[in-house]
Amino acid sequence: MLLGIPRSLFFFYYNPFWTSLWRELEVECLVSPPTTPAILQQGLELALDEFCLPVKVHYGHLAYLENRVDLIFSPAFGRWGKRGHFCPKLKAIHDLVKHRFPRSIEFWHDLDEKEILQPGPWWKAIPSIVPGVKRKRFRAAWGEACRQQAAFQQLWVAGYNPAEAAARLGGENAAEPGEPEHPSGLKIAVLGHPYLVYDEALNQQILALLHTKNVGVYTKETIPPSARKKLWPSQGKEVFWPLGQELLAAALHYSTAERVDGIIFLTACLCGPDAITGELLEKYMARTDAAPALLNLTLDEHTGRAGLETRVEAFIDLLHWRKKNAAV
Amino acid sequence: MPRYKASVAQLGTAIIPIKSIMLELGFDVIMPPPVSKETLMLGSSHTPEFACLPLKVNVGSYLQILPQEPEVIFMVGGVGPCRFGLYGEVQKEILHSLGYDLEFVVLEPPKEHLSEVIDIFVRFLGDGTWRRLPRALYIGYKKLIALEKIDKKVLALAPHLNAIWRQKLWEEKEAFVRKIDNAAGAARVDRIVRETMAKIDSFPREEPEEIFRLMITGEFFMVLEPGVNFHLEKYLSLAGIEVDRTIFFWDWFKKAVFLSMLRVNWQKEYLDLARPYLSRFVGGHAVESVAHTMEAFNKGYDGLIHLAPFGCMPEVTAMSLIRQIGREKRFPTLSLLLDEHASGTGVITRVEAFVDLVKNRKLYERQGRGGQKVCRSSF
Repeated sequence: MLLGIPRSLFFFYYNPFWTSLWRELEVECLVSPPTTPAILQQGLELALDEFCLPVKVHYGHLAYLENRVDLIFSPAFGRWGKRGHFCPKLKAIHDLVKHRFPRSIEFWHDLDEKEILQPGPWWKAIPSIVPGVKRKRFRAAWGEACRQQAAFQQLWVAGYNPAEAAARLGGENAAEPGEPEHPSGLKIAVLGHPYLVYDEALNQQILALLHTKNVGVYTKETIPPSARKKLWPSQGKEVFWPLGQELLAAALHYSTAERVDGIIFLTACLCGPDAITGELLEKYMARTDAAPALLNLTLDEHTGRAGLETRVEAFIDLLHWRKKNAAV
Repeated sequence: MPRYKASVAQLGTAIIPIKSIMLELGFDVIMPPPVSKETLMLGSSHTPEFACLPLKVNVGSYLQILPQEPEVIFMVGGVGPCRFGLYGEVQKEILHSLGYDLEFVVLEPPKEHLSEVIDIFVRFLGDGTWRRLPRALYIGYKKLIALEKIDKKVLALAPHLNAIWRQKLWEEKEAFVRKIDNAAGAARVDRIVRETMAKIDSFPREEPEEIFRLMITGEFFMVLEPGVNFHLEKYLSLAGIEVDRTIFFWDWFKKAVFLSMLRVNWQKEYLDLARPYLSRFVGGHAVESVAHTMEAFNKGYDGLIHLAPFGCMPEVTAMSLIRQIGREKRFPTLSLLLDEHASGTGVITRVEAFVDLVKNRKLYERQGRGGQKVCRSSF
């Protein structure tokens, strides 16, 4: 029995959990490779044109796995905390893909009020992958997976972004987080959904690009948990997409508490929540004194490396000038 | 209570009862003008590119009525995951950045935000105005029911008339809407309904050989506001097609407000229908859209037209599934995702082609492969 895990959507957040759970249950896993042009192309062909880029890529990863594994692990994402929801497409993602990929099995991510993942829906789905598994064994595996996930998220707080943290947990000798080798003194926060910030094929390796420009790079995962959900002073209503609210809170954090010079807001073409959170972010920042500069980058399947690099370089130049002028 | 200059968001004829309620409660009501190209242009130049059309229309309408200096704008809220729940916040920010300080009073769903709803009631109705509330609500309710009754009647009757009388029927309906808008009391509303119903019942019937039935479903605003769907319902109805609209304001209000407050699981019926394709509530009207597609198929409709704003998260999800249903069950469906760039000609051409296909398909099926093609385009 070989189980396929797509390296898309929230894989970048949950990968220690997913992989260690299956390891504990002695299920052999195949994780699809980092997004390649072929995977992207396949996703574009299978998914509805009107979907956002990450969902199209998800189709591509499932298609990659389809003929290579026996069953596909198909995550879906629902409630997050008391009033939080994932976007409708992510809630329905399994319903969207199940007709095209009949061998996929849904694993429902339901986070309760304390944002703890609920094992209930998983326990119901597990027998189709591990027939006759005993509850005790499942519990032990679940506990171990939770521990792995906690260790992973502990690294975020220590300043490693999810990609660096995963590499570290995987035993690789990853570079120390945050600061580049020859810091230029410039700090940029790259904010966006994990499937854009950590999927290098979609964002044209923007994190590495910033590193080579000697810029200190910050992401929303590394901010202290206490600052994760804070509201802007002028914000009336909490954004009910938890990732959206986290983006706003991270922008607030990087505008005030741990000030950076610029914020790059990464968004996918046709991302619904980001259209709203992006607009709110722009307006809140415009109203804040001495707010960092904001660059709104919209990614889609046509995004080319040269175009993106040019815009990022121009942004960095502007930040340098701004800094110099402020110093005079 | 000081006399507030108040306005509301666009919503087809459903804003007539809302206007009436506000007038009865002593507000100075500013009505947004009908949705036009100008509304869309104004709205889309000040809203995010990927925001959905209703937001663009709302912002456009508010900018159009700004010269009349409204003080408060009433709207309903939501708890997600559909973007509609954050319209109030975004609109406030957009207008603020343009230099206008308009107050948005957002009525959140009472089930989740009861105290906020009570605050609003105290503020606007606290000083005795609440005594007028029952009467205002009663008249509003009467008007709403009257408008929906005529809608249903006209849509059901149109295919049984000839083209000339269909035209008259729609003229009568539009006159009816104006009369209801101006009607001053519940008794007057009743009389207008009686008169108009009697009049259109007297129209001479002419039974066609075949009646084609289409269902229109989709996103709430796109279905209810003719200004953004290019009067699709009227267009199809005038062509002699029996159109069944799945969204009526009162119907929705009853469920979303009253039944939700009583914690009745009214979505279960829809979920059961949609289950093979969509297994849970995902926000907006996605479950309803999928369920209505199944219903249309089960009840033997000839096709389904699905209306949604471009980029609408729940409806795009539904669209993918509606396509799937269409493919699996060989059921004709047409999804129209509209935004400010949609042109009437383009949309109507697609609809015409769809209707012609649906008609010929039905006739072929009836006559077998060798049958004569008998359907001429009805447009």
